[in-house]
Amino acid sequence: MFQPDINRSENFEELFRLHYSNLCVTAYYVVGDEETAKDIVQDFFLYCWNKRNALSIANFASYASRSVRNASLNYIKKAGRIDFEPPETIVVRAEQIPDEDYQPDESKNAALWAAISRLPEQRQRIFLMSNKDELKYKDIADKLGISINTVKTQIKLAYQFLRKECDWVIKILIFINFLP
Amino acid sequence: MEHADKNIDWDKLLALSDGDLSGEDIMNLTEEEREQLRVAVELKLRIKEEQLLARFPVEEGWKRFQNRPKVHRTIFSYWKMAAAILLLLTSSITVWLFTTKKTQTPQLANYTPSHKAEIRLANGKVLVLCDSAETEKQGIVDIKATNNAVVYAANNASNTTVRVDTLIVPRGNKVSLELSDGTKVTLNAASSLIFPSSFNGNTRSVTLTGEGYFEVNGNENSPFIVQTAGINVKVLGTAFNVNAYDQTIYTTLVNGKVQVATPGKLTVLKPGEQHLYDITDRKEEITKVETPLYTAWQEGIVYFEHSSLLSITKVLSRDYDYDFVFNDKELMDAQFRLEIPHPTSLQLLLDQISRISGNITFTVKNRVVYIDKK
Repeated sequence: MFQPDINRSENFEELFRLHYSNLCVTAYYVVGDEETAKDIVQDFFLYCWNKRNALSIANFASYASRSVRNASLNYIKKAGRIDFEPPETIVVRAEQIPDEDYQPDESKNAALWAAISRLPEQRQRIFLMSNKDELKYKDIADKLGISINTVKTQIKLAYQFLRKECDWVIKILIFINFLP
Repeated sequence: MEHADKNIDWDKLLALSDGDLSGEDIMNLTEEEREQLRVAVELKLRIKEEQLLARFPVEEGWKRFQNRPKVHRTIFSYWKMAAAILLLLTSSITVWLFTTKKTQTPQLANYTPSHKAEIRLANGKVLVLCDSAETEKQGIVDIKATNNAVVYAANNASNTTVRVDTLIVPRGNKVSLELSDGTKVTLNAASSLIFPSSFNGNTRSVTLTGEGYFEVNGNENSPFIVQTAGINVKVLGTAFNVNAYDQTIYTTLVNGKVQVATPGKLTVLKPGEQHLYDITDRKEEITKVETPLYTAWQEGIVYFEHSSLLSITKVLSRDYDYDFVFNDKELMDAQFRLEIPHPTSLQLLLDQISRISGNITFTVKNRVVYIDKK
């Protein structure tokens, strides 16, 4: 397994270059703002740099992705405070959280689209009209010749289904709640 | 995993997601409702966003990291934050919840567009148009693609299968395309064209969304047809512009002759005439126009005549891949005349509008331009 010695600056740069963009996207999905996402990832790498003596992580991608996602969730929950999990605790937790839980964002998005494709045809159509084409419920109802209440019901059912299918959207948040 | 659905007032949440937002509603959400709203926001971002990686270039990040500036972060409360996200997502124009630090240096509107144009080939392959030229041999045509131009050249292979390719031009881009019959098409930002890689039938048919300027290579035996959502334009050897971005489709004839087919009616246009068709109420109309006003875009000229700031910003957001937010709605109706050949950045245009008006200021934050009165 690749175990970078991030104590050496050229290795650190390599890690940064390898993961920077992906981590920004991970943060962006949660905070919804490009600049904030960049700030969080920058802070994360600063944190890693300062902790580089303690940092010896077998799977940096998985640690980084979790850490940035959790920090982003914390950020929106705690009014702008960013906390990263100390790498030591991650090593301990690695036993509690199976590593299969780690999925890069592309495969999460693929899973999301797969789940969307499993929605009944009408529900899928309505959900995408609302979320992708950004149509108002009223416009969707007019376009499809159905009532606005049908639109709302279908969207609610779609949310409930997708939330169940894509449970990683909430999974890590629950894990956060156990933190002291 | 079960979640406590009983604590969720779906009516309220759905109204929020639909953009009917009030501060009071947001403050009174239950824990479960906040959670569901956050999930909804994340799902929406994941659905809406493609090629996000390009927005976070490594080089820029690494440079920033090496300089290690103290990160200035605006402190939001979570609910202000969630509201801000929802507002951005629903393109609403209220920004009262958004409080930013005053000490930040102003950003300039000089980002390059975040997405590149691409051709989706019939065989599933995707050619992304970038600075380095790419050549692709596909059956009876050779495709040469560079940053902003694509040429389909017929070669001598004797394969008669016709494949259908798609050119997709995102916001902030403009691409010229030469089809295998020699017809030249300029596709404007936020547009796409579906076309056969070679033509061998009685007609030459392409499908357009958005806006395109066509210079069709005349061929009596094989008329050229541009299909859009509402109309077909049949060409009899000619130069013309089709703008099908919105409810109204504008077909503007520069020279030659075209026939516009709407459901149930055929109309022949003369040079200098413009045909308007409303998709919804199916009304059509023909007017005499100054054609340069409708075709200047394909030469890279920004040209507006007595246009409202609202209609100008609609075009600029496509051309430069920025969103516009009117903090002062009155300004939407401000009228301008603009003629700027080859502006190098959006900032230049914003400065110009500012100067002409004397009372309008533009504030840029990331890819959003906020419009205020001075």
